[in-house]
Amino acid sequence: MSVRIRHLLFATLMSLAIWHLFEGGYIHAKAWLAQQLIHNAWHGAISNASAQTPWPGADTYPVARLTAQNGKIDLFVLAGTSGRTLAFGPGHMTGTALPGSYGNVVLSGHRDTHFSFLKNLSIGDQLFLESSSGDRKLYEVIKTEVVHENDTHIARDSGDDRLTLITCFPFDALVPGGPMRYAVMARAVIPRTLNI
Amino acid sequence: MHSPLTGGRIKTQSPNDQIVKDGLRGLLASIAVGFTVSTVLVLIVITLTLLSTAASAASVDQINNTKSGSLLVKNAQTGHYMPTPTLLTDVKINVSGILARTTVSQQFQNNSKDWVEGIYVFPLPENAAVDQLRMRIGDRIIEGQIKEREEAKKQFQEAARSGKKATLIEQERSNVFTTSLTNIAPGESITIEIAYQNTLDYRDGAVSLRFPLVVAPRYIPGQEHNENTMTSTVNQGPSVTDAQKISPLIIDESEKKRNPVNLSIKLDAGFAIQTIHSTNHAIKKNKINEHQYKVNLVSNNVPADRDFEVTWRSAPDAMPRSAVYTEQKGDKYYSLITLFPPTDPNADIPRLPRDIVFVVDTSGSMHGASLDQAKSALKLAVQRLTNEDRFNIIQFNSTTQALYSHEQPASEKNLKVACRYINALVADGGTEFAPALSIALNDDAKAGRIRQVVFITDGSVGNEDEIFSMIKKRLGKNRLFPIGIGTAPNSHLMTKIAEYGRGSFTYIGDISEVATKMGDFFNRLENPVVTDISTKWPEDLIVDLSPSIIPDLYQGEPLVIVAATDRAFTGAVQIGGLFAGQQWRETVNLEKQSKEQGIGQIWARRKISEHMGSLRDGMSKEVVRQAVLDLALEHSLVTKYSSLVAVDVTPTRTMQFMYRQLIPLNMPNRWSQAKIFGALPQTATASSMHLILAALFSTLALVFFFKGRRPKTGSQR
Repeated sequence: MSVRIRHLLFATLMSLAIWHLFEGGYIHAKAWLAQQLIHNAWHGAISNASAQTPWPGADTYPVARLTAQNGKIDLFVLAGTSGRTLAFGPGHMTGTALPGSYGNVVLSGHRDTHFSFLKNLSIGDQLFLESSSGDRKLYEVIKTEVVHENDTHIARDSGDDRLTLITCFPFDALVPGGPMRYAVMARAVIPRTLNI
Repeated sequence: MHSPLTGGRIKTQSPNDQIVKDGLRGLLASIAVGFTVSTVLVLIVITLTLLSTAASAASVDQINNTKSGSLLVKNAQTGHYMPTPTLLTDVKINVSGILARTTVSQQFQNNSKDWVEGIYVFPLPENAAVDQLRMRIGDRIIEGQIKEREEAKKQFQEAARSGKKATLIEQERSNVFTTSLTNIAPGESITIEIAYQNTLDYRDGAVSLRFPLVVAPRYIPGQEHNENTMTSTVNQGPSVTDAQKISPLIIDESEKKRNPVNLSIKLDAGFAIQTIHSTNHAIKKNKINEHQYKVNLVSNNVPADRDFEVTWRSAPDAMPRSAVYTEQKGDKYYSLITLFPPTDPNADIPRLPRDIVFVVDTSGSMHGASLDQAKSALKLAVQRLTNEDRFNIIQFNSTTQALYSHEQPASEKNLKVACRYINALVADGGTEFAPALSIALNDDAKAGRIRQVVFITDGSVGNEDEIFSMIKKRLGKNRLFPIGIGTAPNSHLMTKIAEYGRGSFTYIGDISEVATKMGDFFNRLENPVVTDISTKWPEDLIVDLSPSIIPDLYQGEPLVIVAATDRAFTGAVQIGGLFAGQQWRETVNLEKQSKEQGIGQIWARRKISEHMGSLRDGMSKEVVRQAVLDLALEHSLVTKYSSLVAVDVTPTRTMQFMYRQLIPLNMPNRWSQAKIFGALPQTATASSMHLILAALFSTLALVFFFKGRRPKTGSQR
């Protein structure tokens, strides 16, 4: 076989590999870097008591900070759940109760970056949500459920004080865009001792 | 055999070593193999993904099936099978204008040999206000009282524990109410009577009354309970958690349809009735006079699997009309003013030329389907402009950009420019709404013209307070018409903008809805019949109006204003506005108007929903709760914070155990899953796929390299 063609093939396949590696890594890098930038905007939001954009031209701003699994998970939640927002962090679903307020606070995030930890949550696990206005609430997981994307009852106001986390399901599907969602419902509890 | 592959080695090899005769064939073969291998691998990857999706779909199906069918089984944990008590429903409705007062009476029969407790979930119209509860056991009647919710519950539980008969009505959602019944003796029947009222739908001269006879299975059946809570609720009485209460069991289709219903209506339309029509049931009509009828269901054993709906239509009228009903309650005086638009389709109402500013959100969050919906909505709107109208388009993201510096005539040429502009809209950047709104409100309506601001957004807008105060200050004669786009627009914000902006809010959840939803929207936009409506009351009177900002009267929709005055008074109220650009005024002498029951409650209900809305604006929960509770207790309303409770004083239970029993409700006819929000957000990236493909391609590259190298090293040796 011609060496030149072999080289060419090798180079093509290698560049394809590198491109995919970059594309795959970029998503994770962006997800990580954005959270670092948001960290700064968050402290701005806390001190100025107004919405701050994490970087110039950003279409969103941090609305809450979600902690779980004894602080192992520490995420900044952004306003809105458009594809662009979710690349940077979990998003608060517009129209649902605002973090810190009474009602069903619905957050969604990518199953392979920020919200990959949802698969490890089980009933009784604690979640801690701090809103940008400083309200802090402790939630306890009461239920996990797999739903179809059109089955939006989980995003409705349930009349009680709860937090709903939504991500794509199954967690290990390779191609994005599947119709299934994994939802974790947590109910607000009065903290006995906060160990987060 | 091989030394490890090094970059240096590749470079030092001469590119034109011997090309063997069969080299080309070999190369083609390896390319073919390479492609085949990679294609097969990619196919395997895709297949695996599809398989896992299919697997999860199957488990979801199972979950769903369990939800609808098996809650009964779960409830039978005590090991006792309970037959369902027979249920009888009797409905009487009094209609005054577009106000209806409904009395529902339900009979429960315990057919079993045990003492039972039941929860019956029943549906009410969206805006219903329950104010009366009565329980009948044999000859005795026990009246319910409005109590603060927790107190009512406590009282009810105490009654259950001490073996008394009791019933409790609590509000779960705005249109689902539950009745709990305890201590029903074997074979005994109990009748529960509730009364509520609501305002009816009016469209194009027709008023329709709907009595929902089924609860759609919108909610999760009590999946959240484990065995412990189930047993404890059996012991404790009615303290089931929320999810179970609002999840009526759905009875098997094969089972006989239950819930027979008697229904009769005393109808006083407030206008001359032309026709009366029922959609799903046969009815009997008895005319009393032009305005009044008596309507009955023909068969009094109606299955409760479809809603009862009756519609009456007014005779054609070329002028706007008002109907006023009043109620005196204590030292307060309540008036219900209804403005009906002209109903004569042939009436020639002059249309005023309009200046419209379209403000469209092109921020990053609108990217994709939302912007497509916005574009099609915008194009539809622009196409409806006439020669006399003028328009402008403003887009905003991080910055604001206008098509024209001022509204331009909707000439053919300008409309072409507009269409091009709309097609070229791209979503990117932030959502700076205030500057765009400020530009749109820079001008006011000129004499003989209407000025409207339509804005299309997904509502992920911050600075709500800034926006509201700007609208309050600078609205003038402008009217604001927000259109919400996308999966979850901020309806609360938009509804409030429409309220302050004296316009209306339209929500388009899906691109397929654009055409239909925009139809209603255009009707309002193009047909304001009476604008700048105001009411004038006798002097020295403190008047509390709801809504406090009176919107315009549109073609085909009535306008209902409820007023509370601090004391009884004599005299007249003047209702005025601009009808087709001319002054229009009606003077109504309140003393001569018909007296009705329940107007105070309608007023209180509106005030309560205003208070509940203010929770969203960050109002303190305690303040709102107190305000709502005060209104609820004064007007006997069941709210989130108050319940009706009726307790019989005589202990009757003689047996130790009582079994909880849910009374099944029929599946609605042709029920299908409601898509309210559209869909949940997309929450996956292609990251793993990319990483796996990266591994795949690099492996292929290496395989290739070595595979191709082998014969050559051999020939070199």
